[in-house]
Amino acid sequence: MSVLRCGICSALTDDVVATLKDNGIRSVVDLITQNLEDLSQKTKLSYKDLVAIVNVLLAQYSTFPVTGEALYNTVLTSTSILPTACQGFDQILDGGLYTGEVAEIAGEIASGKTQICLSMTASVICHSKQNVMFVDTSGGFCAERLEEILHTKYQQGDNPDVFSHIRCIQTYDIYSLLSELQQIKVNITQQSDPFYACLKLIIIDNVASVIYPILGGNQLDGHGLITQLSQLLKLLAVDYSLSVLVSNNVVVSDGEKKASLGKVWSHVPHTRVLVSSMGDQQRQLILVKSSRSKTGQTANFIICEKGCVDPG
Amino acid sequence: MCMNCMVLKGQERPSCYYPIVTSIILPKDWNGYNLNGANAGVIFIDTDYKFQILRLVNIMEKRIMGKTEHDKLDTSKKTSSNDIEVLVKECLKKIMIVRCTSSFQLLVTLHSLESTISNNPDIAVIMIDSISAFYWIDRCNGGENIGAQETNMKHIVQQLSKLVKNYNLVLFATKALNFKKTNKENESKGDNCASPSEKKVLKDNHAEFLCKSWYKFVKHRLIFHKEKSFSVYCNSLKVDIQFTINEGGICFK
Repeated sequence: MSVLRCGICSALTDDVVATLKDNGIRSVVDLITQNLEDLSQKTKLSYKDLVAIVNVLLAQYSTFPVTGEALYNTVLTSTSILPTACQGFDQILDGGLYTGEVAEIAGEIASGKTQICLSMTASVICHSKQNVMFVDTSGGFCAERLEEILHTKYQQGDNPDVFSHIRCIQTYDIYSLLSELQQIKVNITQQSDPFYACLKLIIIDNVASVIYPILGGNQLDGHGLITQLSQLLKLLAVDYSLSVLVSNNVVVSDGEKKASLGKVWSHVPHTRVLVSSMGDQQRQLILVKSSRSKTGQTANFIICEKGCVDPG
Repeated sequence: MCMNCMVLKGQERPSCYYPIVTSIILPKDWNGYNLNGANAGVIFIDTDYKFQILRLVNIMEKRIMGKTEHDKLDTSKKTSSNDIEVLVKECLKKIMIVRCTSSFQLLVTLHSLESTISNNPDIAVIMIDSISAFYWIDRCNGGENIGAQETNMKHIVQQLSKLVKNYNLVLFATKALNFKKTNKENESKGDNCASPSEKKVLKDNHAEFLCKSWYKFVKHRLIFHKEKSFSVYCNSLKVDIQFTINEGGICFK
């Protein structure tokens, strides 16, 4: 809600603001929803000035429509696909993680969520030659493990330069997570740090551990914060052409495994994959939500020193 | 064109609007093929950041190719994929996409769109996905006062109804199914629902959570379900239709 004040545009002087205030018009919303002819008669302000003010306000606070053609051309040039380290996974994702989308991996404890995140990080750094921001909310990030994957799979473990392509942020509550994401947005727009120019993937491992504490009690705050987080994630993904990967826990309802965090969150990711343990190092992936591929497709992988790789 | 408002809720909302957009922006005839489109313009307001233009293009191409292969009228004039691409790009000029990040921005944008709509007589449809995107944020920002929580939404509905009436538009909005009717209401209704026709009543189990003026404004309400298969229930026609989703979008059985 923006308050009317002088300086927004040349016609909006102190006197005009005061007159409008006397007539109960304080905010931008109050003014643009008025019938300007009636208002002009009531306040004795010039109709022309009022129209000019409203037009400036509309231009300043609205977003501009883009034609489908322009959007299509932008998307064609800016979309990239980040392959995962494992072919079966790529297949069910139709090539890998797409930029402009939020993908989610949901799984039980020790089902390999963090391993997928680390393998993905290694793949993006070494294979796609892009940068990764790893937001660690549960203390699960392990640099030694990442080095092992880089060393055994990509023979890059000794390369000191390789770790400059990844940054890790540790946050333990939703408020600092929101401000860190906000900061990433600011850094991308400022273009002062070259790291952000090549940033293609943001990983949040694990999103449930920051959201669980705000659920329960006053549901209102919880839902509000979830919506705010999801908007920010989608905005980063779409506006800055990034790929966002989040990990989540599962809950069992009616004997069926579902991603946790409830209904409000369930609408957020574009793609959702359930990962479950098949015993030992064997893991199974099931695609449960996608706008591109047929849901219900499965893929298997194993966790070894090379990270997540195809079986056999 | 009559004033129609539809609300789509629940699962698989995104898949349903691509075929609708396709039908609106495609021309009626093209090189002798009957594409059965409306040749009209659309404003698509994306508050959910879920609109994927690549998926739309995919569905449009599938629709056109399906027609050209099925009809095969003119063997002398073979349609190449290049021709289809040109047609798709031409059609994409008729859709405008607006992204909003807050209910305030949506309201201001709706006001500024008025001039766009009056300058483009082609525009016949406004689509919003989704109208409930800012619901929780507005609830949190409004404090204890329900009136304050709903101010922006009320103004949005007011402006939408003005646009729909003045410019003879169709509004098509989607909404998340955030609330179901409480168990008590369901049970009292479902006590004696032995016959299948009565069971259908239960499918209309949504509870309106946006402001009252929105509830009054909506003429038709479609509710999407996913149990074993996908189905959609329309409250004004009281029919229940099953459908499947494939590469070409939605297929009704």
